[in-house]
Amino acid sequence: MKAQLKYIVLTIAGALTTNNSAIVAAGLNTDPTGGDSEYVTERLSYAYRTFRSADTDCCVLRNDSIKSEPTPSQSENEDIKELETLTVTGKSQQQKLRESEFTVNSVNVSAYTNTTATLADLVGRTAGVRIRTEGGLGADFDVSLNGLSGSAVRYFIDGIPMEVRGSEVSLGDLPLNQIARVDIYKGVVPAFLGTDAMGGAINIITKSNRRRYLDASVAAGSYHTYTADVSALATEARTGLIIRPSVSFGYSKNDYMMKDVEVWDKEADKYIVGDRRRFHDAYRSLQAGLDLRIDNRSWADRLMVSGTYSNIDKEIQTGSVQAIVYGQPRRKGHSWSVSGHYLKNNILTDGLTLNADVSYTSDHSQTVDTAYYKYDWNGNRIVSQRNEITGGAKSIRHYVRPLVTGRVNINYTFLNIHTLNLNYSLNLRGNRSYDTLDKDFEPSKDVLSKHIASLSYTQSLIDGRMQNTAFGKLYIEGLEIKQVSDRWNEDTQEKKIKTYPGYGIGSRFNVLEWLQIKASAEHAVRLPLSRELLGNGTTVVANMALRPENSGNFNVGLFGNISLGSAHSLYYEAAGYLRQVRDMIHLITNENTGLSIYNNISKVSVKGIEGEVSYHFDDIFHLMTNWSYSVSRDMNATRSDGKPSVTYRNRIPNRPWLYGNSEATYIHRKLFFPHDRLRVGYSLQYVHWFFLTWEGYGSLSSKSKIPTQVDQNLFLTYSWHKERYNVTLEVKNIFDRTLYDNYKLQKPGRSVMLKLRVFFE
Amino acid sequence: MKFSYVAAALCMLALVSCSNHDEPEDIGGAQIKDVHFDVWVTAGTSNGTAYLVKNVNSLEEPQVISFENSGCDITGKLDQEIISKGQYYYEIPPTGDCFGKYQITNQGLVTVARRPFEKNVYRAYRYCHAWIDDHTLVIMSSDGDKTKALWTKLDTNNMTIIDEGEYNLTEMSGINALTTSGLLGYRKSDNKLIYFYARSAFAFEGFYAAFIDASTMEISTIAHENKEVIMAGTAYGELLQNKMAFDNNDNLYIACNYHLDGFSSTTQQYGRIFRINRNETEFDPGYEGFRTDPSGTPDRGKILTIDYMGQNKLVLCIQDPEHCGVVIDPDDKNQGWGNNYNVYYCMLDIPSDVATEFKYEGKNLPYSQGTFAQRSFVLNGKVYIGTNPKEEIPTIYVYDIRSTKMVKGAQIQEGFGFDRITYVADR
Repeated sequence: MKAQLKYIVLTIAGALTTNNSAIVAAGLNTDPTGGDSEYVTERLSYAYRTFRSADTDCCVLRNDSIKSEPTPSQSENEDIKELETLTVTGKSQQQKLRESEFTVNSVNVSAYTNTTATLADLVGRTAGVRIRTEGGLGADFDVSLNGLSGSAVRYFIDGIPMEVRGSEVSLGDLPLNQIARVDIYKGVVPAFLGTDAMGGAINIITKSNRRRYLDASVAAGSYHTYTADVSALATEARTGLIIRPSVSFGYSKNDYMMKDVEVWDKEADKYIVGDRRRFHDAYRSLQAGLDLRIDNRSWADRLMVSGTYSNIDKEIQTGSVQAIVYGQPRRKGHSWSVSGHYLKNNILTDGLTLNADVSYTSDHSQTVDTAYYKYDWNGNRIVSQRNEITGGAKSIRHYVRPLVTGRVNINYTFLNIHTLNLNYSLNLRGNRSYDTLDKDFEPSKDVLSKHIASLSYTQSLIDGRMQNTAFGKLYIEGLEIKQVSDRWNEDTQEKKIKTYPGYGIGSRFNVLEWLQIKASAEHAVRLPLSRELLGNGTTVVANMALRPENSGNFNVGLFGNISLGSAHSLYYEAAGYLRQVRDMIHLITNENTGLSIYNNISKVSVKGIEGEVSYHFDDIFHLMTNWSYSVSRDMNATRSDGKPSVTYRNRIPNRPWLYGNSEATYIHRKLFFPHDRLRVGYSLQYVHWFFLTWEGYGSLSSKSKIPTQVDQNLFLTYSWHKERYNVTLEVKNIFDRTLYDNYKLQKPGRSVMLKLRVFFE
Repeated sequence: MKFSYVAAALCMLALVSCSNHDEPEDIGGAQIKDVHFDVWVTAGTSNGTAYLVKNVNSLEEPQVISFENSGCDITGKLDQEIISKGQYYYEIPPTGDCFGKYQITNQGLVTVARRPFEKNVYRAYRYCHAWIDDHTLVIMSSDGDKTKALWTKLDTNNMTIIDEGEYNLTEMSGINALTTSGLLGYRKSDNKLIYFYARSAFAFEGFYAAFIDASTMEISTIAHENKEVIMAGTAYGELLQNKMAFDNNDNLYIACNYHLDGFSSTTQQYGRIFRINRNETEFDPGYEGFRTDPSGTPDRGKILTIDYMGQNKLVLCIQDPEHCGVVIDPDDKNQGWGNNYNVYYCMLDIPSDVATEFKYEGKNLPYSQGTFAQRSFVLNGKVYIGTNPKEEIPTIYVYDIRSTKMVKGAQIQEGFGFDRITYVADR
């Protein structure tokens, strides 16, 4: 190096640390949840000094970009040298998570911030994950992780249950520009999340930038879809108070074309098949949040108070099948929450970390079904003598479901290789329901409580090449139900407390850089959700007899990085899993009434394999493909009447069992300007066809199927002024295929979206 | 003189003989020459249920009816709560906006025709029905507010709506609500539709019968049965189960149930049969049938289904754990009657009110399971009885009414839920 005043801007994704985990970049914390993975920009002058003063084997994330930028503020007195080449290698948070003993996917959401994809879209593109959507923006969807359906999956935002945001808030409502990454734990879930998830857990990690910024975007497109997101961060200089407000708005009329629906032709005096637009499927979502935070004080490494507000209004177009057409019912919900978060590292002694959260949520949802009309796909209606959804009296059904959550996590690392983690979480959910119109409805007031305590021990051996974890959990369910779910069972009132144990182990061994193996096992328990026990007031009815489901989860996997030269890298992973589920909770739909109910299935076996291969060429081209094969089998030898069941060991119907995703991304820099970038992406999702009901019984010609889906999407993003300005054009379902995730619930056809985003820092 | 006495006696004998010969034989059920049978089963556990229907030519022929890659999967298309008449099935599909006419074949479901409703709208399988003739069907149900009863008269030949209307039965009866579907029967002798309804499906406080002129659809009178009973069916009409029957003299028998003392659940009941005699518009105060079960025990046995067999006898499907030797804890609300093998079939002699269990080779037919099932019917002088016993493969028995012989017929492949058999005319 030669002494010369020259600066470059080093853009780093992730924390800048030495090989002994010391943090060399200022302002990054050591949140044990791994929450600090945002893009940070550090001037090389600072970073270079840091490198020099610390261990030079520092680690930063892969795929960092180094860009030249003259910066005039460097001190003349410093030992300045020209940096010809700075090669840094290291592991991203995603990579670190993959190298944990758990089976986990991690999605770098920051790479998709400029697109119009929802978080649900991104999660659904990962290996072993399948999302079944009932329609367009705001539609209900179901997440399946390694063959276990959505209700077996728990959601978190920075380790706090997502339901704190309100029961109507889903993955599709969270704006991408506030999210850094999503960690998807499949099967075995780390004890620190303190949850009763059985199929897995999805932990959404928000950005926690320290710099001031303003991030704003608007998007508009097909089917009268509009979204707007604004978030900002500012630091009050005198007190160091960090303020982060955010607002996001989404609206879609969802008036996409329904293909081949039946309508009555009066002249022909018969039903004919035609294409008709949806006419009562509008969705509006408003989310707002405010974080007030103080970092790096003697008494707290982080103290944060947050408030959120959510308001959702959704029209309901169809029942459980699209032949049931509604014209006026809607579902509305609004909620607000306050929460507190406290983090202190090295409390009392080095290596001891205290992490605590507490929250309260006011959650009120209602289903409005007050029109005595019968609609068809023409949008025509006749006067009816009953409401649209249940066929009963006019109804405005209210559900008031306040929620209190709490979590205390104590993490102690000693001798650099041992870690003990103690976690306690509380989930207290009230459920009050009443109807302001239907006099026959019996009001209820129920309370569901969950206490989950866990203790885990983790050791890191052979210079970190081997990592082992063992953990135990205790689930305590409290139930106080006064709701009458069935008039025939008129005395269905229960008050009970039950406890269930859980435990697991995990291990990972780094044989070679390109060959690492991992295995984990867990006896997991999932307590029923309130909506599973108590229904949703519309299409899902209550089932008080629901029991917790439990599962033996086993995962094995191997993965590795293969370097194909300085600019080429290949990553692969392959995994197999087994789930032995008892009392599995599953949504059962009566196609004739359109109503569903959650019920226990005594025994289910889920086996599957999945694999992913991704290739990177420098920071220019990225190719990824993943495939999943999952088979769930009914292991009930007998029917409910005690007699042998003909479906014993049969494949459980109405579940995708072969599916895959592929993505390709190309980045072209300096297209028109020195700091511009063109990013082109293509994605493909494939789902093989599957039967609606048990295969092998009934003639093949009479059986209903969910057809094969091939969904292809394309996006093009042009960014300039160092990504300060971004414009994205996105085409979804580019070949306008008729897509179904669920039987006769058609998804949108081709759509075009345009998004503008500005990012000031 | 002797000759004249002999001649007179011979004339009398001839007259009596002629008279006996002309009088129709008292055999219940339909007489259909060319007919096939549909066996309805369910496959699966609580993780989704497949509804399967298999066409078979005979239920008497010993055979095991299999559903492996055969039969029609009607899941999501039709339900087993459906009207069967002649060659067709009829129902209001899940959309609730029309009335449909269907045929079920082993290759698939055929939708023959559908007719959208114009005024009155019904819920899928929450209505009752009665045939006025071979092609005129009346369906009825209460409205969403449960204050009025809706009716629609349909021509099923050309699938058109003949007429429709409503009755303000709460006002006419002085009650504040109506049961969901009620029951509907047609009495041919005086062209009367009889609509049975109550205030509540859960209150043991009696029920009402509205007599409707089938031509004008005007209500002529309303009768009230005020005993502490509920009708055996109030929500699903007779789409699956037969809850009333006419004998060949047009007397109507309707199944009702009293609450069984000592049990907390209202579903645990014992049955009675009430009667409305031909041309009458009141319940027969002197008749209350099935006072004792086949073992002579009074006030036992919940009536699930009822059919007229002929010869002044009714075919009853009875649910009674005690009779079937099943021990039920009255305080265990999860131990419902429907989960046990506690269903038996008997014939009830109407004049003597003596119930006799159906037997095969001198033994009672095996006991079955399931509250919501219709595994019996009367056709061509025979009673077809399907059983789904705990220890044996589901079996259909056929009882010849004239010869009183019982034969063991077809069996159903083990592993399925066996809930219904129907007959369908071939032409």
